[in-house]
Amino acid sequence: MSATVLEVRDVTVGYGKNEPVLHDISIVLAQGTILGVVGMNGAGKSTLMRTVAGMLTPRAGEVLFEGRRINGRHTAELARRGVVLLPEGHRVLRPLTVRENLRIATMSLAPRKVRKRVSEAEGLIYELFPILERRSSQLAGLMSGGEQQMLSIARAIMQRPKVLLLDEPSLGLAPRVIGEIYAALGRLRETADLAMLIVEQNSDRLAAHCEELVVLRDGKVSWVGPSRELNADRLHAAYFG
Amino acid sequence: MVAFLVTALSVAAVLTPIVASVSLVYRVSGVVNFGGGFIAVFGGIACAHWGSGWAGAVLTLVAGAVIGALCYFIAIVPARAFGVRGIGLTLSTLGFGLLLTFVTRTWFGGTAFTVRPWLAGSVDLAGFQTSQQRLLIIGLAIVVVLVLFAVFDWTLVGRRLSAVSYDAELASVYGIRGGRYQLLAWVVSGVCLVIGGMFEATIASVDVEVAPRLLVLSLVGAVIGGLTNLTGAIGGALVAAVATTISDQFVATGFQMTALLIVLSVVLLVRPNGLFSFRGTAERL
Amino acid sequence: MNLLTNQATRVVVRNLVAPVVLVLIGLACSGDGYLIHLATAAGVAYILTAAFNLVYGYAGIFNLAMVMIYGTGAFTSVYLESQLGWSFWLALPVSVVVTAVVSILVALPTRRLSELFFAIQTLTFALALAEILLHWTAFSGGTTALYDITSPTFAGQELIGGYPGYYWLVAVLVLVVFEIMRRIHRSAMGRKLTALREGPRVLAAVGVSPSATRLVAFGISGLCAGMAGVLYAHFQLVIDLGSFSFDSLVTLLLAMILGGAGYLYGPVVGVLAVVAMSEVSLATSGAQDLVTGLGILVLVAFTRGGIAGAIDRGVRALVRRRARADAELPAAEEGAPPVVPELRVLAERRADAQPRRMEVTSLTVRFGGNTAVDDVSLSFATGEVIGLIGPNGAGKTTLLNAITGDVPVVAGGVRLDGDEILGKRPQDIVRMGLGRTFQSPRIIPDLTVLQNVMLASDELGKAGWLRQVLQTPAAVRDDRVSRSTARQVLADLAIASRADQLAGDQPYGIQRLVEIARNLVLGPAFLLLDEPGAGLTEFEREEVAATIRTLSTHEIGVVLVDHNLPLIRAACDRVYVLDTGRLIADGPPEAVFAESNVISAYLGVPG
Repeated sequence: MSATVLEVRDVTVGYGKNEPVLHDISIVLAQGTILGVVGMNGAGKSTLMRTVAGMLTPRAGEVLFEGRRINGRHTAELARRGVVLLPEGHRVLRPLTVRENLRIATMSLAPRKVRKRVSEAEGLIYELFPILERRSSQLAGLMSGGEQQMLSIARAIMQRPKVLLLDEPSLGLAPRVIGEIYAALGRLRETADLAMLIVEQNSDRLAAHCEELVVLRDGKVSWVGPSRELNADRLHAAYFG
Repeated sequence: MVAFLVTALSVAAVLTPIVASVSLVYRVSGVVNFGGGFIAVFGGIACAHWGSGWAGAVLTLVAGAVIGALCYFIAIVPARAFGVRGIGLTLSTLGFGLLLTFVTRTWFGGTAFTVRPWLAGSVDLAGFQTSQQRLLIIGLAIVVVLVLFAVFDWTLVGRRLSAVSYDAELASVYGIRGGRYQLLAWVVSGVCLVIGGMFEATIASVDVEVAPRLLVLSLVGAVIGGLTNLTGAIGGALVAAVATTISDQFVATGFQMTALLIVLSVVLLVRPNGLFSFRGTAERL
Repeated sequence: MNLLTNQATRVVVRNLVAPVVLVLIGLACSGDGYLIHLATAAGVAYILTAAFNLVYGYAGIFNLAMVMIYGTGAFTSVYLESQLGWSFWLALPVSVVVTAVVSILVALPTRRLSELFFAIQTLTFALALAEILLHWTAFSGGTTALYDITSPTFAGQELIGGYPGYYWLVAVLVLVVFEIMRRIHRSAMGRKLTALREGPRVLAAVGVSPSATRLVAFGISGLCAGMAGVLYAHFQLVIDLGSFSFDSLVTLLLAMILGGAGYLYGPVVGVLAVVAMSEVSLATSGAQDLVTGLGILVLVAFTRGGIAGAIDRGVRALVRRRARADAELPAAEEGAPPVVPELRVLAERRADAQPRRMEVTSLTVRFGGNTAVDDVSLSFATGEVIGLIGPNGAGKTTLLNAITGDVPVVAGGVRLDGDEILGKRPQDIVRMGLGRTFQSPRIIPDLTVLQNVMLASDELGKAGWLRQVLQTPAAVRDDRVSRSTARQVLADLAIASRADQLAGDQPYGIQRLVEIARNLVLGPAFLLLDEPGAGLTEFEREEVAATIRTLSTHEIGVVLVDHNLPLIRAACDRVYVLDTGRLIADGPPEAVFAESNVISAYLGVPG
């Protein structure tokens, strides 16, 4: 059993005065593994990601990163410590070029350091996504959704993540592109020592790539276990109750 | 024609830094600074008071930076902490502007001031006599614009500022601390405002009563420019300057605001997002 | 009986407060020239601030041209008297009409502007108007002041500004304006104006034209501002353009936010506070900017709704505490069967309602290059509940938006009983019998639950806007009917106990019911519900399902967009499945959920 890198412990989160969206959620992410979270829309998947990334503060419970409590920490601070989010909808800095997107993700202002960081990561990034090299001076906003998702992953690599949070990486993308993205994530996991938490609405692709799956329903964990044990019946039961 | 060009350009030289400042702060903080005119006037009067040499000008620039930061900390940060948004924040900047006017009046008095031209004497341009100072501020305005372009387009700081202004939440995911860049935007904005004020004070007199006019000029310029980027700000300032100068020189003097109103109304009727807002370039659905 | 007389007394007392206060002030100040001057100035300031409160406080329109409209009133009356020899009593109404027209002229071209651009546009308008007046010296005196102002005479008595006689004139008009504001505050118009503050869509959703409501706000506020201007001119007996400068605008803003925008007593409190503050800063001359600036900064940051807002909140908290002590409401038990609402409000329409049919044919919606809805055809009839499901981004909400006229359509048609409804304005579509709710409930947080529903039931009344504003007997009758209709529907939906609480304080579930209630009042043939189950507990969702089933027994056709499949299964007769904008399946829920392409679109097949 490898060490735990991220732990969500009994977390309850909600917006404003409304009913909580997540109730008493607990998940554990081990070093070097991929944990998949699936569930219908409104099950609380994005809320979970945003909570771990520091955009929402839990009402109860705690989020631990490398054993230290991180709830309430600012998103930028967490990103700098290695908890890196890829938000839903392949969001990139559209008015900036591909290269600029990568350069400002190095989190440094010293030109030399930036150059060093970029040249270190460049090899891996362009090996995973050769298209980014060709498009390096294009505006990110003018690229296709798939290319933006690739840039998003490349940007995260630049940040040297310890935990990568991917919120519906296949949303709105063509099946072929989704295949490429997942292949790249698999490669990334082999090369870099990191853990991933991936949220999808659809367990199709995800099950093949992760060790463990969590099914969320109505803000609660309705099933958790090794991904190969999740068959159609169990899935149906976990989704619909 | 030469007369028209020189006048319009010198008006644009005053307006460009002010409009750029309003638009910068709007993009990064989402606030239209109604204190802008007051800060510019402070700059003009302070410079007149502190001497027209380089020392006075530099001191004024520093003061501008400090005022920009103060405006952020006094008018924006507390109000935001209490959940104020939109027009509320704009009102708050107006409050800061009035506070600053009180300071201006107490320190320097309420009379009209002029800054002694940095370049004395006049030149003859194809039969049109104009002061060298006018030409100087046109040149200086171009320098200011180039510096702004250099900072915003070619440096990492500038790109991060664009990142924050495009999407502060996404920028924080990139590891960029938004608060620092907002402060930076307000500081740069304060400096730009006092530059505009100093320019105005070297070619005309400035007193606290001018502030609302400068405010409206800068707001209209910013709106025409579309509040999206520096190019838009320059475009907006030029359009506003040309409109006021045309009305002054070719229609009747003293109808600058009317000319502005006409231009603004036409622009907003045709393009409700401003003239220079090219949605297509970086935005795609 | 005792109760009745009590209530009657209360009404009489309430109606007498304002006149009595004004009379007492007049009597108390009559002996002192300075005090009567101050009281008159405050009266004029009240009328102006009340005008601004109507347009900004209620309707949320940040009209910075207000001070110049006020100035226009002053100059117009003086011009009519000195140049045309009119009497004050003729010049006053004519000037007021002029300013109302000017105000409406400001409103017309600015309909589509954002709040911010509107503020800048009106500020520019004000400065431009000032400039034009400056050059029209016959009208404004140009750079010099106008002294040629004759005081009005009444019953042979000259009413000179600064003397008690003039105070009484101002007091009467203050009373008139206050009474109008009080009536608007209570009326359907007041509710509509407050709704306008939250954007035009809410009004359109209850079948009201937002632009017409906006024009009423501009018209009345222009009228009152003009009246303030006329009074100001004859009070000061000397006016110049400087009196209507940016500084006056700032003072007006201060009075507004200090007193509390959108509250009936806001302008009263605000004007009193500003008068007090200017007395203070007069003592320390030159500190005007300091006092105003600090005042604005502190007020914006630390207060919601100024002094009137603070008082209002205090009273509400007190009432709530007392109510809680009175009766502990029994909370709905988890596990208990859901309450099946009985919709008495719809009872009469069940039997004789003609069946109606919606037909959507080959509808296509594009955003840029992205096809959000792709050649979708479907149809449904009254009395049917159909579900519209599909994964994220499938185009469900866009389809609803296209049907209700909220997004432009590239191709296709939407017919209601054979009539094309594409291209009609949202409020007209609502009036044709097609209601809808939104993903995040569009309620007016600052109105009570009851008032939110009344927005719709007001529309069943017959009184026009003028009668609503003046609260004529017909309008009062309409109001009473509207109130009881709204209460009825709230009772039907089992939320009557919350009727008098602010809608903004309610949890999501209640807000959704309020939205549904608002639609039911209008007696729709069809109701499109966008994710009514989102953010609700399982128990609340069962109640929603029960409510929807009840709607269909009342011959309402329901289109239900939701992600919650148990809810869909419980409520729907038929289901349409969308995926990436296309229709991929339809039929009874059980059959559709068994189809493999639906399952794979939704869940994927593990392995």
